[in-house]
Amino acid sequence: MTILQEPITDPIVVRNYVGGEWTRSAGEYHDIMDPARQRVIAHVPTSTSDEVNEAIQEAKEAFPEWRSTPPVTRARYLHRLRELMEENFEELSRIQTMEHGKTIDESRGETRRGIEQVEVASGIPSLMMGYNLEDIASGIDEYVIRQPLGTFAVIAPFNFPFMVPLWFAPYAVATGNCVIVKPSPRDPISQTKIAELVDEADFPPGVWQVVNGGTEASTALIDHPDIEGVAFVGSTPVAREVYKRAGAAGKRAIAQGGAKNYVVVMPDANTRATIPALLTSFYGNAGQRCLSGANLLVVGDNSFHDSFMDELSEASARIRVGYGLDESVQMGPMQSPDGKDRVLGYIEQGVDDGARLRLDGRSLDLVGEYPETCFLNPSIFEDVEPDMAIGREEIFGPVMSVLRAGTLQEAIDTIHTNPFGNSACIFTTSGRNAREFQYNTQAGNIGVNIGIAAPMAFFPFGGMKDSFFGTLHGQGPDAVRFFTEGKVVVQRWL
Amino acid sequence: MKLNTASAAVRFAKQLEDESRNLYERATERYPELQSAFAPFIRENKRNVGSIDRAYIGVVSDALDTQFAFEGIDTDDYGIVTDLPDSPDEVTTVLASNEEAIIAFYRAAADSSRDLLADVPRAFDRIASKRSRRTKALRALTDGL
Repeated sequence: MTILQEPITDPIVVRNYVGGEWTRSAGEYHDIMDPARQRVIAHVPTSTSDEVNEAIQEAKEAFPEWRSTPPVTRARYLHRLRELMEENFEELSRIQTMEHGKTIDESRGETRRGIEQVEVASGIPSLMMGYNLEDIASGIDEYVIRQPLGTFAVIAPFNFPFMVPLWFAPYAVATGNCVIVKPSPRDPISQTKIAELVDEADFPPGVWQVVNGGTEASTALIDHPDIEGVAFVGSTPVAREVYKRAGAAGKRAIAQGGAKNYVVVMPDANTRATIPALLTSFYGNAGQRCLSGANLLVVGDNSFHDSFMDELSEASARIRVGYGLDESVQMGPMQSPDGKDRVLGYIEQGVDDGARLRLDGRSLDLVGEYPETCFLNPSIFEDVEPDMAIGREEIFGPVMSVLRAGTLQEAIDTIHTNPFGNSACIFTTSGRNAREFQYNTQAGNIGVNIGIAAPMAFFPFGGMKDSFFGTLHGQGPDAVRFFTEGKVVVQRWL
Repeated sequence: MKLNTASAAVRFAKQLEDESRNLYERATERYPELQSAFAPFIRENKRNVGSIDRAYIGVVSDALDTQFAFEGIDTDDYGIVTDLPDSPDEVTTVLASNEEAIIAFYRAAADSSRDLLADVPRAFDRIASKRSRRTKALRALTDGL
C-alpha cells in the first residue's frame, strides 16, 4: 500500500513568531517525536514569561492600527491566508500526521475544518454588523456597534494541532484584535506552519503571533493585564482553573474541558450504517477527541445487544492500526507514551473493577513494522457500570465501554449521572426517539445518526456542565461576540 | 488489494481515471478517426479527477468519517486493459469493457460508503452515470465501424 512521502525529513527547530519576526527562544528546547516512527522531527522551546511579555507588547503596539483597518480589508488578509492554506493543503495535512500520529484521512479532514474557520471569519464585514433603531424617542436614535478589545490568548491542546487554534484566532483578528497562539508543546509544528503562511499573507507585525511553551508561558498569558481574554481547550481541571483565574482578573474566557461522551444505540437503529459510524466515533483519532464516543449505551433486550455487539466487535478487531501516512491504515498511534500509559492504566482498572474485556487492544497487531511505543489496538469492555472508573472518567484513547439500558429514558438518565456534557449521540430510525433525545439530553453537541457531532465552522462549538466553562463558545457568531464588545450609542442632533 | 480508507479509494479512482484517459489519448494518436468521439471522454476524465478531489477534500461532511467507509472493496476486481489493440473496432470494444469495470468500481465504492459518507458516494454515482452513457456511445461506435 502507498506510504506517502514525509514532508519533514530533518528535525525542525521551532521558533516563536513575534512582531513579524522569527525569534529563537532563550528557553530550554526539547524534542518532538513522531509517535509512529519514534524519530525526532522537531525541537521546541519552553519560552519564558519575558518572551511572552514581549509578544504582548508587540500586540499592544499593533492593535490601534489593526483595529482601525476596515473589516473588509482585514477580511482580505484572511482570504489570502485561506488561499495559502489551500495551496499547502497536503503538506499541512502530512505534518499533522507526523507530529500527532493521526491518519492522513483524519489530517486532511482537520485541515479542511481549519480552513473553513478562516473562510467563515472572512465574512466579518457582515458578521460584525450591529443593529439600530431610529426614533427611540422623537429625534433620538439608538444603535449598537461591535468593537474589538485588544489582545487575546489562545492556549491550544495537542489533539488537533492545526484546527483548534483556528476556532478562535481567525475571528480574533477578523474582528480587529491581535492574537497570541500558544500551541501544545507536544505538537507545535502545525502552528508554526500557519504562522509562516500568516507571514506570507503579510499580516501586519504583531497581529498574529505564536509563542511556544508550557505552563510558564500559559500562565504569563492568562495573568498579563494587557490580555483581554483567553480561549483554552484541554482537560477539565485545567479548564476550570483557567476560567477561574481569568474571571478573577476580569477577563473573558472560553474554557473547553474534557468529555465522557455517550452514544446510544436503539433497537431500531440501521445497524449497517451505525457500525462504521461507531468505529469512527470511538476509534477515530485513536480516541483522542473531545467528541469521541466513550460509552456505548445499547438499549434493548439481550438478543439485540448480543447480535449487535458481535458485529461491532468483529468490525473493531479488523481495524488496521499503523503509521498514519500509510493510506491503508485506519487508526494511528496515541500521540505520546504518556497517553498510552494512561489508557493502559484504565484498561487494567477496568479489568480490576470487574468489567469484561471483550477486545484487548494491548495485544498489538500493526500494519507494518514500527516501534510499539505509542501504539494500541482498539479495546472493548462490556458489563460496564456508570460509576466504574472506565465508565465515569475520560480515558482519551481507543477504548469503548459498553453499558446497557432498558429504555431510552433510562439511557438519558444514565447519561445525566456523568459530570461531563460535551456530546451525546443517538442512533435510531425513530423521529420520536431522536427528538426526545435532543430535547432532554444535557450535552452541548448532539448527534442523531451521527457518531461525531462536530459543529460546522458557522455554528458554535457547544459544551455543557464540566465540559465547558464560559458563556460564549468558539467558532461562528459566538466567537464574533466573544472577541468584541457591543457598545450602545444613543444619539440626538439638535 | 483491499481498500479500507477513503484516501486509498480516492487514489484508486484517480488512477483508473488517469489510466483510462491515457488509453483514450493513445487510441486517438493511433486512430485519428476516433479523435472526435474520444476527445470529450478525455476531457471528462480530467474533470472527474477534479470532481473526486473536491468531494473528498472539499466537503467536510465526509472528511472526518473517511477511514472506515470502504471496507471490502478489492481493486483486483476492477482492473482495466491498458494495452492498445490492433484495430479500431477492437479498441472500442476494449474501451467499452474498461468502462464497465470502472462503472462497477464506482457503484461498489458508492454503495460501500453511502451509509457513512455523503458527498463522496454522490460524486461516484454521478461519474458512474456519465460513464454509462459513454459505454453506450462506445458500443454504438463499435457497431458502426
